[in-house]
Parts: sequence; C-alpha cells; structure tokens
Amino acid sequence: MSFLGFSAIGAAALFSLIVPLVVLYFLKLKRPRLEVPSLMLWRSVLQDNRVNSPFQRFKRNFLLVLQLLLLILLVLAAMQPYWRTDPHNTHRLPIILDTSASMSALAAAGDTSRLEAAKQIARDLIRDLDGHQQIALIACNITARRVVPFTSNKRLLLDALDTITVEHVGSDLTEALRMARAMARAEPFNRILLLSDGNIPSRIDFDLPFHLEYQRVKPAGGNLGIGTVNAHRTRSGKWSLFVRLFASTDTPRTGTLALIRNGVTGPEENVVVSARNSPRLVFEVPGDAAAKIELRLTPDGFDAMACDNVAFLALAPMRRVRALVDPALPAFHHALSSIDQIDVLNKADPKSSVPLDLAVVGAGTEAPEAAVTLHVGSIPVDLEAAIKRHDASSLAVDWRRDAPLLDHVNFADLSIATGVVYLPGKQEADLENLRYEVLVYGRHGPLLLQRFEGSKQRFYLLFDSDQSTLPYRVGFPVMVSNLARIAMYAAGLLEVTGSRTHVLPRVPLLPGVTYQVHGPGGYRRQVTADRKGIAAGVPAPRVGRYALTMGGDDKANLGVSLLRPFETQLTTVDQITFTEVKVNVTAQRRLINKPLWPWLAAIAIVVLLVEWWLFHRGSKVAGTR
Amino acid sequence: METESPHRRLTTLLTNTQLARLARTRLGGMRRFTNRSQGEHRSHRSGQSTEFCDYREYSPGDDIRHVDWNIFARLHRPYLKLFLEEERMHVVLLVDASASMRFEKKLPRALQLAAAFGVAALSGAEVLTAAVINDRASGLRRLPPCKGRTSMRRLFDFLEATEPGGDTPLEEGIDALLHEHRGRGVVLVLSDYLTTGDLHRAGNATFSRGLEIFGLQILGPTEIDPDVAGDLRLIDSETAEHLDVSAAAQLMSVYQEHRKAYTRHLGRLCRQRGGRFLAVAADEPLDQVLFDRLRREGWLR
Repeated sequence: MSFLGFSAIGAAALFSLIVPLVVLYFLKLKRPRLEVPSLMLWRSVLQDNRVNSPFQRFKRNFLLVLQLLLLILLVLAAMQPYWRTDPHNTHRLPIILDTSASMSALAAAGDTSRLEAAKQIARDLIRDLDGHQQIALIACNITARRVVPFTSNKRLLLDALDTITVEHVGSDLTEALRMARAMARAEPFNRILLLSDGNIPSRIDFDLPFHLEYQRVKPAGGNLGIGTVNAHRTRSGKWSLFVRLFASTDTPRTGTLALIRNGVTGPEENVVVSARNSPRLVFEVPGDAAAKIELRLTPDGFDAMACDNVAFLALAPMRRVRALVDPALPAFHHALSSIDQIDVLNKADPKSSVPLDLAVVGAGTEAPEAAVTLHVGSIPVDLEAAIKRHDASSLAVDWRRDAPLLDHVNFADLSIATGVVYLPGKQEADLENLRYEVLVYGRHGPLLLQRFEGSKQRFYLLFDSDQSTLPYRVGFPVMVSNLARIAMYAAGLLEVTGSRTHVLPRVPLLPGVTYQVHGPGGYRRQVTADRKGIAAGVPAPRVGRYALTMGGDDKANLGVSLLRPFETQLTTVDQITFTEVKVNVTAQRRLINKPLWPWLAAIAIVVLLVEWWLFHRGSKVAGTR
Repeated sequence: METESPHRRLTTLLTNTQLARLARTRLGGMRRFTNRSQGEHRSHRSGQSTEFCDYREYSPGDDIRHVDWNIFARLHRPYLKLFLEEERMHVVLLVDASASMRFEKKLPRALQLAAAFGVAALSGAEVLTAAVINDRASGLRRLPPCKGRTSMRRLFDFLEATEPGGDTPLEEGIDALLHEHRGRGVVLVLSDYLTTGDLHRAGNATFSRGLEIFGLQILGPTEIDPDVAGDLRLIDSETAEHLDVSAAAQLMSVYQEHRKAYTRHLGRLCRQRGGRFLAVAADEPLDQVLFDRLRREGWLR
C-alpha cells in the first residue's frame, strides 16, 4: 500500500519547467566579476573549503540546486500530496459529536471540556479536507440534530462546529444513526465517525448500514453528583425526600448536600460517595403546603461536572383524593370508600375549583373531567368499528401483569356473561393504531383497555362488571386500590419524582395563550398552551429553573435537573453492541488523509529565504570599488 | 594638519607638521647592521671618534699615535687608548607598487609611510636608498643612495612620481633589489604581501646581505573584512586569472582564518630573521600609524 497520494496528479506536468529553468540558468550563468588585489587568499580559502566539504562539487552549482529544489517543492505542492492516513479514501464523512451532559466534564481543573476535545479532533479533520472530500456534522444526545449537511466548505464547517454546545441530557445514538442512514440514501457514504467520551449506551438496537468508527476522547476526571431525587408520601402526611448520590471513581469523594426549601436553606449533610457506594439520603419535608425544593451538592476538591450538583423538586400540598363514582356502580363505590385519604363523591360539584382526581363511570353516563377515568361496560365510540358486544359468555385468557392497574390482580376463572369480540378483519393492531392498549385479553376480544390522553389516563372495562364475577373476586378491591394509587400518583400526592432535562413537564395554563419561557444560560423561547390549556414539549436543554411568563408575570416556575446516574458516573463503554455487529473503540487515527502541501509550501519558502540570504542579500557585490 | 595650503607643503605625501615631527625621530633597528663609513650609529669596533671607549695593550704594528703616554710614564708599558667608532647605516625603502597596491589607496599609504621612514633616515644621517616595484620588464625603479636632509626633496620627487601597476611579485622585487644593493642596514618592505611566491628565500637572502628586514603589510578595508555574497568571479588584478566563488558569504569565516594565519606567518618570517613585521589598514589614520603604533612597536624612536 502506498503511503503517499496526490489529489491533483495532473500538476506533475509542471515538472517540465525544469528544462527551461536549467537552460535559463546556464544561459544566465554569468557571475558578477569582482577584481581583487590578489587571488592568493581566496585560493587557499577555497582549497581549504573543498577539502573540508564533501559536497563542494555539488556546491559549485548550489544556486541551480536551490532553484531546482524550489521548483520541485512548488510543483509537488501544486500536486496536493497527502499522507495516506485513510486507507479507505473517504469521500464523505459524517461526524457524530456526542453533546450529552457527560461531554461537559473536565479532565482536570482548568482543562477544556470533553466536547471541546472532540471538537478539536473534528476541527483537525476539517482543516485537512481537500477539495473533493465532504464532511457533515451531527450533534447527538437524546435526540440528534444535523448541524451542517455534507460540504467541503471549511469555513462553514468550522463555524457550525463552534455552535455545537453541550446539552444537559443523556445519550442515545439511535436517532443520530437513523439520521445518518437517511443522509446516506441521498449522499452515499460508507464510514461514519463517532466522537464521544464513551458515556453512551453499550447496546443499541440498530442495523448499521455503514462502518462506524468509534473514537473516544480523553476520559474526564472524578465526578460527584445527584443521581435521583424523589419524594414519597408518608402516613403522617409528610414527604420523605430521597436523594441518591453517585460518584465516578472508586476513591471515596466527600461533599456537602444542602436542602433549600422555598429559598430557605435547611439541613446540610456531609456525604462520602464512591463508585461502589452510592448513599441514599432521606429528608423529612412538611406536606401542609406546596414546596419548591432545591438540593445543592458542594463536592470537596475537583469536580468534573457541575450540572449534576443541583436538583429541583416541586411538592404539592397534601390533600385527600377526590373520586367520583357512578351511583350505578355500587361495587366500585364500596371498594373506594374503604380506602384511606379518598373522598368518594356521588356527584361532581360544578362550583368546585378542585378538579377530580378519579372518575368511575358506567355506560351511558357522561364522564366528568378527571385525571384518571374508568369507564365500565361501555365501548368507546371510536372503537365501535373494531369491536362489539357479544352475548356469549367469555373468559379472561391473559392480562398484562406489569400494568400498574393489574398489579397483584388475577383474572383466572373470571366469568363474563357478555363478552366482546373483534369485528371481522379487525385485530389488536387496529386498536393500537387508535392509541388503545389492551390490558386484559378475552377469548374473542379485549376486555380491558388503557389509553393516555395527554396528562389524562383512561381505562375502559368493556364488559359490564355486574354481569361478571369480577366484583366477587379477591382481585377486585386490589384493582380498585391500584386505580386509586394511579389517581393519587397522577395528582402528585403519592410520589413525586424530580423533573429531568430535555423537555419541561406539562404545565397547565390558559388555553391558546402564548407564554415566554426564560431558562438558564439566556434561554428564551415562546410556547402556546393547547386548547386544553397544556403547554407541552418545551425543550429544556440545561439544568436550572425555567419561568413561563406572560406580560412580565410569572405563571409557572419549573426546575429541571440532570438526574441521570449513568451520566453522573461518567461510565464509559469500550464496545457498542448493535443488532448484528459490535463496534470497539479505536485509537484516535485520522479518517481524512493528511495533506502535505502546506509543509511543502513552508519548505519552499525556507529554500527561497536561503537562496536570498546566500545569493541576493549582498546583491550590491560589496567590495566593488 | 590637513588644512595646510598645498602650495606651502614640501610634499603631497606628508604635511609639514608631520615632517617636523618625523625630523626629530630616528629609525629603531633591532641589530646593528652598519657600514664602515662615518655615521651616527655606534659600532662594536673602536674607531676614530672623540668618545673614549677602553684601553688595550700595545701590539707590534699598532699605530703608536694611539699610545697613551701618560699611562706609559706611570707603568712603563705601552697601552693603546681606544675610541668609539660611529658608523653609518643603510636604509632601503622598497615600495611595492604592483597592480594589487592600486586598491583602496594602499599605494598612497605605502608611499606616505615610505616618505616618513625616509625623512627619519635622512634626518639621522643614514644612507637612504629607495626602490619601487612595478613591471617585470622595466625592473626596479630606484633612487640612488643619498644622505642628508638636502636629499629629502629628491626622495619626495621620487616617491610622488610613483604610479601603480605592473605584475612583479614581491619576492622578485626583493631579489632585484639585493642584486644591485651594497651596504648593511635596514630594508623596509612596504607591500600588501599578497604573493604566492617564496618569501622565505627572499628573507634569507636579505638577512645574509646584512639587511634587517622591516616588513610593513598594508591591506585595504575590504581585504581585511570583505563584504561579498553570492556567486562571484574574482579576477586577480595582477595576473588577470579568475576564480569562481559560490556562496561567498559562507566562506568569510574561513577567509578570516586564512588572512590572520598569513599575517602571523609573515610576522614569524621577519622575526626569525631578526626583523620586524607590522600590518596596518590603508584607512587607518596616518598620524596614528606614525606616531602611535610605529613608536610603540619600536620602529621609530
């Protein structure tokens, strides 16, 4: 294999200039004549110099040699030689830059971030591009963004590279690889470069249609951060706040964790954390009023990543769950009434400003607005073209045991007088297309469905519970209890988990109104609440507090945190397992051939300066009289 | 000094002030190569002067007029009274006026120095001879031996009439001088000494003829420190031979080594033959050379 190549081999024709150069040299070879008193000293000088210089014959025509060397260097530079560091002669190279939170980590105090190190590798590749090679940049974290399409415009690429910043989110290569695969359809390529710190999933469900070059930047230093934050309701009506800390090194790290409640600094805990020991700290927080919790970790010594040293949690005030039960469903009323902390209503109060948390409605009854609704004995209107009642008895043949509603619920031997069957040609997939999920399967059709509608959750018990043995089963009160827990969870009264970066949690606002969103690092954008008054899908790329304002007034204030232990632990993977292949991390090597013409041009300038110094500096031929 | 009117100067070579100062100086010889003729230099031999030297016993054949009769009366033995002999020294000025001396006012400086030595010699009652080296064909141009201050005019006219040119090597010029010269003393050779000939032989011949050799090398500023660069074709001013030099600037350090080594060689050559050697630059102020360097080196007293 040749280690040297030329991008513009045609420029070799310029070597023919050697002939006129040599001819002109000898035609012009008329040295300036200088009369001297005597040649005696000069003869001895030359004699001495010849004896001591092995290249004297060569030096006799040193000027010609220099001029030939200069011409050869310039012609070689014009041929655009390159050092063949890329055996595949890459023509197009997409570069995926990991911009997840771990890429903000530092190797040492005062060092640049991992992203800057990755960008420097990309920058070197871009600078070495020749006119025929193209690079595309893809920034990747949880999502992927094509920063710049395939181009050989170095200025464009370098400017685009500078705009890439770290987002305080996790890593997932899938979307970036899908994007690359889509790009390959329009502009084919066979190699792709991934620049990351290695803090990426080790298993990716993706068929690689190209070769992935996985290069890892220098690992970051030790890190200590908050990994998870959540709060549980206690029987005494308080919140138990659980905080778990993670560290990236086996060496124990120390720090101080402070709890700030509604702006007031509360208790502080000294913590010792290592990669093998991730302590969980518990704080008691009163539940009588809403509380904005901020947890701030101050590690002792160097900390590689700052974004995981703070976490936010919003706690709602404790209250009883409001449940409305159709009077026609006494079994549900009875079962819910026996559960603590639930107020069971027979009729919704239209004047009440407190929304319902749970509604259990029978067939033919209009369902009120509630966070969780269970429809009993009715088929949703949009499913009437897919399923229908069947007067034959039915049995539950299977059910989703992992569904929260069916936790510890057994439907074996459940008898149903009136079952449900699929209409001809219809099957479960048709229900899924309408965003229904089957939780209980009957002999000929579904028996229990689940559907999420925004922040609301609906369950559909498709058979009439009174015409089944369900109310008499041990699992019935358990299922109702699960339903109550789901409602409590949806109302934020059972468990609250800290919001993570990437997207702001849904915020109830005025329908159709546009709000300004202000976030950390000068983040600004607008969001309009939908017709139900929900502002959703607002990106939250950085850790911190986001304020939704209208006319200068704060309408909502949300804190989002990193809360990704995998990022905090700075775990790196050496191998990524795809569907069919495994990709190992490779040493940093060039995927773009190293151009040599700048070096040749620099040497040519040096040769030119040497020639000037030796032959033209004293062009006045000093010593003449 | 240089502001004196040329019309009132005795010579174009030296100012009157310089002449006046030189008239009070004498040549400082290392040895005493003198002649039997009466002069200012004391001889090792006893002679006819009035200055008492020593006594010695009478030997048959001695001139009885030199017997000290007072001693004879006291001791009854004859003793001769000896007096110091004062002899005259020959001073030969040999000026190299070949083509190589045409450069950078080397010849004018050589003529000025020759005139200065000549004035010192004539003022000291020496016998002065001058010779100029030019062409091989025409041989040496000579000033016949002369003495006394009245001969200064002849010396100045002889030197002022000197024109540069010719290709006679220095050693041949010295040979030609010795071929015709008679008398012991000092020979002052004023030249750039840029010759490839055998100066050893010429030095030996000079020494054996009873002449103390005073070598004075005069080099131009660009001979001492040439400012050359690039490719050059050097032409010898005397032989018209050429030498191609490439990257001349690179050779300057070697050139300096050779020039200094050659100067040391010339100095050794003169000193080994009882003489003196001094290298001066053609652009060095004349007063500094005459009344500082030459005095400190003992050439002039």
